[in-house]
Amino acid sequence: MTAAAKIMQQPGEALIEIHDLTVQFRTAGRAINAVRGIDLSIGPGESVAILGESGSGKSVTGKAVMGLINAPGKVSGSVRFAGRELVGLSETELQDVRGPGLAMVFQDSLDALNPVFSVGEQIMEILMVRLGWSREKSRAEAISLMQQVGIDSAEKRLSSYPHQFSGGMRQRICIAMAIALKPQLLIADEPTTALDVTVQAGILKLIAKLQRESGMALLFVTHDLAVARQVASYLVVMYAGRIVERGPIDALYARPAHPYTRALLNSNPGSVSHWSQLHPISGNPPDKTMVFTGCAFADRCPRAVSRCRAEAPALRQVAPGRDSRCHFAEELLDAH
Amino acid sequence: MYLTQPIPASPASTGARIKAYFAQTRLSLLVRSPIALISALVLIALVLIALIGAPLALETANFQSLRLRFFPPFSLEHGWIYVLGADGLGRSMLAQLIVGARTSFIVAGAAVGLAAVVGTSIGMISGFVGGWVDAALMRVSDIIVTVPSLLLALAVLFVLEPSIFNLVAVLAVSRLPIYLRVARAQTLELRERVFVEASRAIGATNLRIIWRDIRPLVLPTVMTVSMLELASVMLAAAGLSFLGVGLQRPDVDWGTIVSEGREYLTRAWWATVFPGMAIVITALAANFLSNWLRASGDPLQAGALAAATARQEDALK
Amino acid sequence: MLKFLSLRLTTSLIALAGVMVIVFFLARLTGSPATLYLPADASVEMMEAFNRQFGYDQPIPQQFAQFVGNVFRLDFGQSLYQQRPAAVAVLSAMPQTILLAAVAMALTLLAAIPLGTVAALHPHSVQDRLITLFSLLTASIPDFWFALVGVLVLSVNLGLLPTSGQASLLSWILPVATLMLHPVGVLTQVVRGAMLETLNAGYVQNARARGYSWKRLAFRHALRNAALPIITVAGDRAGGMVNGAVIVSAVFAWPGIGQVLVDAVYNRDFAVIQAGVFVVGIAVILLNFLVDLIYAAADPRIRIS
Repeated sequence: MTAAAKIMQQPGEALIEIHDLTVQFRTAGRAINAVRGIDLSIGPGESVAILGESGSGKSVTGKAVMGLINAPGKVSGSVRFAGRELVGLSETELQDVRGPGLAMVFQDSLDALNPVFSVGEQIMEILMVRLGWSREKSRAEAISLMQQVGIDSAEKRLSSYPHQFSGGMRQRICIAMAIALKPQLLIADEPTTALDVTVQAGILKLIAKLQRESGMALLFVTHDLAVARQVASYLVVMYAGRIVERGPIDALYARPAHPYTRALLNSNPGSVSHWSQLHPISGNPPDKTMVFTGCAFADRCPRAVSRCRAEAPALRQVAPGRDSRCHFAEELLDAH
Repeated sequence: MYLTQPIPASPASTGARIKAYFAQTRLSLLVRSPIALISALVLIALVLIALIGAPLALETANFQSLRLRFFPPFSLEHGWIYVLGADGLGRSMLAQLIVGARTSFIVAGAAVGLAAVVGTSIGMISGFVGGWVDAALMRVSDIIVTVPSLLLALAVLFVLEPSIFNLVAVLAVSRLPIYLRVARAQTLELRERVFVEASRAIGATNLRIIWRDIRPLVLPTVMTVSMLELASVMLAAAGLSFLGVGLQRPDVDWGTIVSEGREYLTRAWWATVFPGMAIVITALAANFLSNWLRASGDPLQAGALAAATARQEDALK
Repeated sequence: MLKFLSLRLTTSLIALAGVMVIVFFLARLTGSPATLYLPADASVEMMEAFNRQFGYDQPIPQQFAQFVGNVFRLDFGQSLYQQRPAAVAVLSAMPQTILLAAVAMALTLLAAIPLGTVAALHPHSVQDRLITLFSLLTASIPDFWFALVGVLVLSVNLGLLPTSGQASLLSWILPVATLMLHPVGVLTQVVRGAMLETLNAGYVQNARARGYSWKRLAFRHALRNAALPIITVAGDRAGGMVNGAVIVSAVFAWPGIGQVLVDAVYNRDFAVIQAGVFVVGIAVILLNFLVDLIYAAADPRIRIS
């Protein structure tokens, strides 16, 4: 049994416990359900990846944990971080947790850095504002942080502006800023999606290395199973705002227990030996305004039967350390 | 013949698109937005009073009476027509306001209409054709913007004699750049859209594409800007009349009445306050309506941000 | 940066040439410049002599060449009323107008930035609606009428403020308020719009994720980026304050370029009108270039490129 699975079974030791997390956006009389009740615990030092298509609610989940959902979005449920309930806290109360508790790396590094301040100023600002350090001390630490994330001649580049860096270098700076306060949990929201494949690998290695060395927990949001495998040991698969399957990543990879996970594996170019084995998932993710009576995946599922449309499956344990939201999870597991 | 017909990628008729625009901006919701509804009703009422009332009130407005000099407002002693008092020549304020309303609406409406039609046309051509034509037209617009509008109007009207026609022409020219920039910016965006490409592929001429594909989509923004402009042009026209270079008797607008009333400001406040109030009420109704009409962004910013957009474009080059 | 500034400078020079053309043709709109420059009771002989002396009997291209030469010597002819060169009359009035406009613009920004920021921080709230109402109201009040009603209520009825003169600080209140009336509403909405955009930008969300206070997010991270459109519109409206200055001098007899222009209209002094359009045009072009410099300095993407 992996370390991850152990922690799932002993929620008392968890760093963060998410219970029935729901995010709804109400606009012009319509309710858009981005996240429809998520339960998840992450232990200290654990690395978890959330996998899903765009619109599955994976990014919204990450932002909701950080408390970054803006009006008209509404968050309900519970997020307990280090024993403290975060849902319902005011912006001012959340300020203490953000930074040393939770930190985040965003998808678009050009958008995530302030264009009018040098990267040095932006890194130093964190230390001066949050830790009350002097300018000199913050400057030295900023240089050390930039070296840690693999930026050459850091001292010289301190006074450069975001637009003077390449995409990969900018994302490294974002990571340096995120780890500046030594967070207990780093949330990475598709940090490599906007980058070239060659640059991606370097960033993934860096995140994995920092996570290993610092002992911080990692919540890695991605749409790419191959990427998830490089940084995480535990995988959560989301579909239509819900978790459809979760478990140790290697076990899921070898024997998926949900047709959706299986479909994702088949559509992933990295997981098959020949292109003829690639099967893109047909159809589109369901409308987020919909309320389901049955399984949300039924319309796209190759093995859906009438029961799937009538009765909504619950997320249940289907094997030791393995949870699935499919009526036929056991059959799927046995089939492998 | 058949081939030059718009292909399916080209959108529906102009009428249908304008209808769609109003559906989209929820004209039906006008009823549910009290401020917008009241504003629309106020504007309609004022226009009706101006058009129907002015011919009827003309004689009364010019009737002078020594006995009624500085007759104070809110008294029905001399009939309801003197309810807003009388000016220094004993003329009914209410009758003058009604006569002034017609001129004010005609001047503002004509100037806005002229500026909108000419400015939008030039803007669409400029944005669509691009190249040196665009560059040259934008420079002309820069030049108009360089001289503050009131000063430009003051100078031109100084040279030409004051008349409704000259006033309309000067106001229209000074407001051209706003439409030019708004229409141009939208055209630049629309030009890249699929249906324009499709029209071009079947050999439609530039003017035809502008008329059939671009104009209907630029129109909603232009209408929102026009409603906003109605207020500011009315203010500008009144300002020129106030300074004595706009309209002069026998033509009279609300600005002229304020200017005349000012001479006995301390003696008869109503001769200054009421015509100004008429301008405020009209402009406020137009501004509320344009604020409600806004499709995207803030109409108050639409004109203001034209300069910002130009600077940004240069910065990105 | 050099590329941006040279591009803007070229635009300015074209605008300058355009203003020269406007001023040149202004005198020829009626066909006979002599009727504009000479007093209304001038005889036909006087007009012909005038036309000969100043070359108005020459073909238009030659006239234009001569005109351009005169412009570079700042020679717009003699002011009929002031008995001195028109350019001198206009230029000597500029400092007072610039001072008044600078005070008004500083106060406008001081009011618009907090108002627009509050509105952007709470979009669609009661505060936001009230601030929008305020903006719409300022856009609906004629400035000359605002000035007159101000005089009526505050000076005549309540006796709080002097009606004219500029001796005491109190006498500045109404002229400055009149000049602020239109720019303050527009700038408030521009600040609101710009701040709404930057507050939702990725870098502000990222800064928020680092646990900064809302004051730091709004006034350091968002406002610093929103500054670019705000600076541009403020520059634009500062140039437009000449409009307000004309009104202010007409109502308060406030000295400056407005006074000179109003007097010129009243006295049919064309040389001064012509010089006024040109000098104000130059001032606006210089102001625009100043804004370009600030703009380039404020944005490292332009400064270092």
